[in-house]
Amino acid sequence: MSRNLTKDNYNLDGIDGFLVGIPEFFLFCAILLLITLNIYYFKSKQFKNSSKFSIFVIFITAILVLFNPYHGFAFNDLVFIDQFNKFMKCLILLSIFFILIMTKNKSEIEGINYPEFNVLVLLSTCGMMIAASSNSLMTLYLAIELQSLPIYVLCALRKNNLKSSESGLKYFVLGALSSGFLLFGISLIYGFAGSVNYNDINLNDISSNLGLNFGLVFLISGIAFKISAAPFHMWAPDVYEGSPSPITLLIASAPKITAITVLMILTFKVFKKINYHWDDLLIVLCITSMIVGSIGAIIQSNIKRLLAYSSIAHIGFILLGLVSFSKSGLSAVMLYLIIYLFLLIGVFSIILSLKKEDQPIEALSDLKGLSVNFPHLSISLLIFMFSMAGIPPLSGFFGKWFVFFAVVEKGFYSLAVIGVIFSVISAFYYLKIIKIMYFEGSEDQVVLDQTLELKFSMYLSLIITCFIFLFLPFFQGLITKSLL
Amino acid sequence: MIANFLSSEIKMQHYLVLSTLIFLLGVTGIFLNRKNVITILMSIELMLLGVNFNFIAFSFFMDSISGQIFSLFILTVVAAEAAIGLAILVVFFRNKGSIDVKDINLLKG
Repeated sequence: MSRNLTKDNYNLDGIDGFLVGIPEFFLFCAILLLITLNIYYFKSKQFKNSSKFSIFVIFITAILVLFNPYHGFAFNDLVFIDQFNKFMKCLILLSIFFILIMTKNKSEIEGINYPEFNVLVLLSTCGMMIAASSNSLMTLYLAIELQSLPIYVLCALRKNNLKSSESGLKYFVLGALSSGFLLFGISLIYGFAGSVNYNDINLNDISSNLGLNFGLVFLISGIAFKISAAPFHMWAPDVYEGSPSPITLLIASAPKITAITVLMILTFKVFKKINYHWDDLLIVLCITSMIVGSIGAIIQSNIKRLLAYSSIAHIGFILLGLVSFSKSGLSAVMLYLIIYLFLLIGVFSIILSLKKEDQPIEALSDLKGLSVNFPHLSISLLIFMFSMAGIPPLSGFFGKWFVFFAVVEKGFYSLAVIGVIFSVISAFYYLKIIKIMYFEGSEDQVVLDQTLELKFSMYLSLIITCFIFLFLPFFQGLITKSLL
Repeated sequence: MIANFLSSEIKMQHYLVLSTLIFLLGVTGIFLNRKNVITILMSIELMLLGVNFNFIAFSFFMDSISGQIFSLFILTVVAAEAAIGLAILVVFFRNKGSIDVKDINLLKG
């Protein structure tokens, strides 16, 4: 990402800027079309049709992102696109694609049988894509709002369920608070660094500039809210538990990838000069996230709540890669994101395919005797849990290994030791799930309702989780190519 | 420093102190409020208006237009945010029959 700040030969001004933004424009027009189609055209099987349409749209958008030859600055330097942004956008689109196909036939049981679901998911995707390519704090703020406003609505989408609407309300209040923090930070940075544009932010006399340091703290706490890094994690367990499972998957994957991308761009591009200030903040977030995520999950009895704490711990490990502030740390973070995304897809495809008394399963005790009733599901869940705990040769091990490698390379030995200790502690609750599945009496009311799409996503993520060492050169080649 | 602050001329730091006070008022409003969710929505508005104040003051003193444009964008986003917040609140009220902060207690642990 070093060449980014030299805007030598590819600066697309004026109308040429639209060429850079083709995927976003296509997506936005498709959303407008989808709204109209929902009202006038999709009469029967409204949800399924609009779902098919949005899967198609996501597919085309991904192709446009991949094969768009134009890159560089556009719209008066508000937007910047290079290989790195394209890679992250593809990752975001991949997660959205899986969410959409997994929800297609599961909307009724989850109580989200409204075609608005697809429109809102696509709108949020549009925001994520713009956020991933932002080159100004103004674009960043507007895109993050466009990303989170539809998600507030999605959380409360199960209209007649108290839990769902309560989680929506909580997410809204804390999300608005976080965007207030983000904005206050941006305003201070604007005042003390002179501009909101990444290219013009002037950090020359930073050492004595108290206002700018204040701004940095507020900015990073705003972003930490979005990635649910402790101590800004309070919303995550409640929102994960209350919202319908497909939306929990959405909250856990795509917005976090976006926020991590933004954090990477800010760390490696904008605040590169003052990384010692920035690093202290990241180290605090990283250690507290690992502690809270590992300790907090031990007492949980709800699956999604447990996954929320586990995601906090994983965010801690991801931040570890950013703390190392090197190219190997950056590629370790990107690899970790890919691995974690497929783990999430796998776990949620199992949760979504089980139901109890026509309701989605919630409690950990619903998994009792899964090994007797559905052996193939329980062996897959076992593999995912082992992988999350970081047991070789599964994918989670490689994610953690590369992150620790980057940290040790930079000489942060104590951080690596803390990371390993909390990784061991968090293995406890992953093993607890396996114990419940294999060694506790059986629960006979749980029924299997696995659609073709769920099977596909489960087996795909299973293959990637088990045979990651075969794909590792491929993934690393992609990452190195995008970091050139 | 205090004498400098209290001099009759209005400077940058006066605006900064005022905007920070408004922002903090909003934040404390969210955290200390024990009664009503509507008050939280009002506090959020107050926070973002404090930020707007900051932007406009900086923009004026630095002779840069982007702060004012930013504050206009913030106003529109705040309006959208308030609309969505009220809509979610209505859904919550239908299910619970109350919008007291102490009644938002189903999800915990």
